[in-house]
Amino acid sequence: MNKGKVAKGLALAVSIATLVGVAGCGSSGGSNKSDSESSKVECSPYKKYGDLSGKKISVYTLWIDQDADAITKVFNQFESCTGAKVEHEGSRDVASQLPVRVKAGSAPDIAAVSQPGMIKTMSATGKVKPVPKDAAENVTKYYSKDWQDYSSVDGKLVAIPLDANVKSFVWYSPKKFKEKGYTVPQTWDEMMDLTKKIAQDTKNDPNTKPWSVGLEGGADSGWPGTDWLEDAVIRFAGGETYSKWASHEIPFNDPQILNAFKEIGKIVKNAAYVNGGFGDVQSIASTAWQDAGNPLVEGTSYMMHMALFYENNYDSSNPDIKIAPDGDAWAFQMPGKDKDTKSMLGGGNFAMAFSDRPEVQQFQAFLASPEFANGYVKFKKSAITPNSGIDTNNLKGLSKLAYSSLTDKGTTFRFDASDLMPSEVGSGSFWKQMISYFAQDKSEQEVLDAIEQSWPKGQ
Amino acid sequence: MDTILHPDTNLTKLLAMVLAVLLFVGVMALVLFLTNLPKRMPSWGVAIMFLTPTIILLCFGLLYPTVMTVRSSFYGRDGTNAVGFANYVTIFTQPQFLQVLLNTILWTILVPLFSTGIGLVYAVLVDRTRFEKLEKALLFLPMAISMVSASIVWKFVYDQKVGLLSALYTGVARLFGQHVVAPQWLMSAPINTFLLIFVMIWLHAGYSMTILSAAIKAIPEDLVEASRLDGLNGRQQFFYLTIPMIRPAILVVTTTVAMGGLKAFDVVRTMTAGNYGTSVIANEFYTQSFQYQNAGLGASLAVVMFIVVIPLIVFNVHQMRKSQEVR
Repeated sequence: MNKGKVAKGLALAVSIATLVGVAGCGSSGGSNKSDSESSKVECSPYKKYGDLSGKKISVYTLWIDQDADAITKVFNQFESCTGAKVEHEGSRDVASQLPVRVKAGSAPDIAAVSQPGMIKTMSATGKVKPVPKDAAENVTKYYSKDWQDYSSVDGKLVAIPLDANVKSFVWYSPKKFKEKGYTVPQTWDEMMDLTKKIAQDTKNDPNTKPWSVGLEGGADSGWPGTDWLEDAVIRFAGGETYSKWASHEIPFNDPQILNAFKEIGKIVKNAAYVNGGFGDVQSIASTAWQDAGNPLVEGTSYMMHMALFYENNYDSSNPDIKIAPDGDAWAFQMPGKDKDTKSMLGGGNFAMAFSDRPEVQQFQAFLASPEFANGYVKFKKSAITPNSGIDTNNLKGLSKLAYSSLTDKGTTFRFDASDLMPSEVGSGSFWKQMISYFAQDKSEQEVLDAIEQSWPKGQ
Repeated sequence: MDTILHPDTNLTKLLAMVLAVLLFVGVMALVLFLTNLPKRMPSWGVAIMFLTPTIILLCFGLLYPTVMTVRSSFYGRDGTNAVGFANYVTIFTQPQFLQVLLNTILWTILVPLFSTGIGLVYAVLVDRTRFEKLEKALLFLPMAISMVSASIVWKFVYDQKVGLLSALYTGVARLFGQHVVAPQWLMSAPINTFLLIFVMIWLHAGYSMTILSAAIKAIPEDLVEASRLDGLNGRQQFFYLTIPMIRPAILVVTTTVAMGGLKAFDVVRTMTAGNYGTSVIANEFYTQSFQYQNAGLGASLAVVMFIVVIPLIVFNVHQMRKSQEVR
């Protein structure tokens, strides 16, 4: 081997290695631009966290784009008062990536997940740190028992509720309702009567129907269908049965569930009632849920069942749409069998800690505090929190209505069942079968049987 | 040391990268230096010197994960309770998984068949024409697009409302005086699987064409001359001369693309996420492992794929050697 060859080999090795090295450095951390607009922060409530200068906390959530910007603003207040640096990383794939990271030993300090089932599986890994004293005090002080239970495993608090969303809303256009002289229904029967009336009034117009429904959402297609069924179950089978159904104490295809399913089938499978602005019953499966609210404003449909966060879609599709009780779009709570039984379904994000460094513990206390909750509802659009320490003046528009239904003692609140079920069902067969219900015109019984069959054994 | 192992600022990240590169160079330099050190190093000594780092890396990066995957395929969801062959039984008995296997078989057969077929015919047709370079570039262009981007583009083509395919469908129907509404292409099984397969064919045809074109150009000129003198027409020349001469190359391309079809993931994930009966093994493996946290079943799917791909690879390498002998 002569010197020239060695030199050549070395040069090649260096160049390859450099290439590999360059290719291997991608991933960027969270942005940490302190916004000049995050006005002067009153730092006195933050005194108790002490001086955390130079300390870093990594946070992993599923908030991206505008949501990530909003949450960064909330964290900025904490940063500017304590000197700590909060590195936020948002990803849509937290549910599938977090377990991988935890297993690999590179867990973030704090991760937010939206399924109580995930809280269970994560704490089973033994890597989740118990909620520290200060944070736990805040949780017991500001959150109702329900939300403390969602955040606990075997009676031990392992997570902190971050936010809440409510789902049992029916969107409508107050303007269009006024034009036609329709009133907001107070009971399920009234809602069915209204549906019938609208169908009568629009029967000469093949494009206009009382309801519009959209289930398509890329890899997550089908979830709006689960909300329909869940709302029917809680209304027609009751809260207790609903809980048993979500925890599989009764089979997924229990007759009570079938009855409830048939009630919504009367709406969504009736060609005279759907799918306003889009097409026939089958088009429900292929209509993007983000588009399902457009016909309300355009006047080709009058009602849509969808969560509070749909507000964002109106804002981003057309900022001129006025969301107000007398505007272009608003929502009423989906009515129950009679005027007095109100039920509300919802979900939320929960923060778990994988580190017990003092600065992380202080940050957890902050996450459970009214300061965080207030900042959250102030900066984030159509967001609410179960934290009772918030100043309701910070709630805008529909969020106020959502918050009052969330905190109303007479309302039966239940967690979104598909978030409670094992993911094979909750984000698997339940979604897929709701699509088949429309796309392949499966019967209610067939859909429920197929989901029951897919329930993982021993879970 | 800790700042290097867990770099968190751009500077330390850069430093860690430079260090890693230097480490690699250092190891290589050491190996080369040691092999050069003794005046008379026996050949087996050189072999050991060069093979050791490779074997260590292979064990760490390939063998160990393989063994661990096979092991966890005999365990349940979280790898704690042994379940024997239960996961494999699930894969080979449950209708949803049989559908997945069937789809994978379709992908593994149709993608190479059509890519190679189209590539071969195209290569022969444009051979020695005036605009050969341009014509080849046209078919090769899709190769420059990543699979995910291509999937997004084709998702628009298959869109029920604004898609090109729907426009063609309704247009042709109108020619016959029929007014039809285009179906939901990506939701209607079984046609959706074939539509997805077409995307992969579109992506790989250019690759097949390039390799086969090179093989055709390597056929000795005198053979072509001789065949002409013997009075073969174009079609006969194609079947009796071109195909036999480039047979090894065809087989290499076919098996390579077949492996691509067997591993198909990005197209399915991006376009349907495996819904509507379009799932394939790789996609199902991802779903089970990461979305449903069912490590055992995920591992079993990976093992099934691993076993199926082995004969393909053996055959492929074998043909590769053969084709190099011809050249």
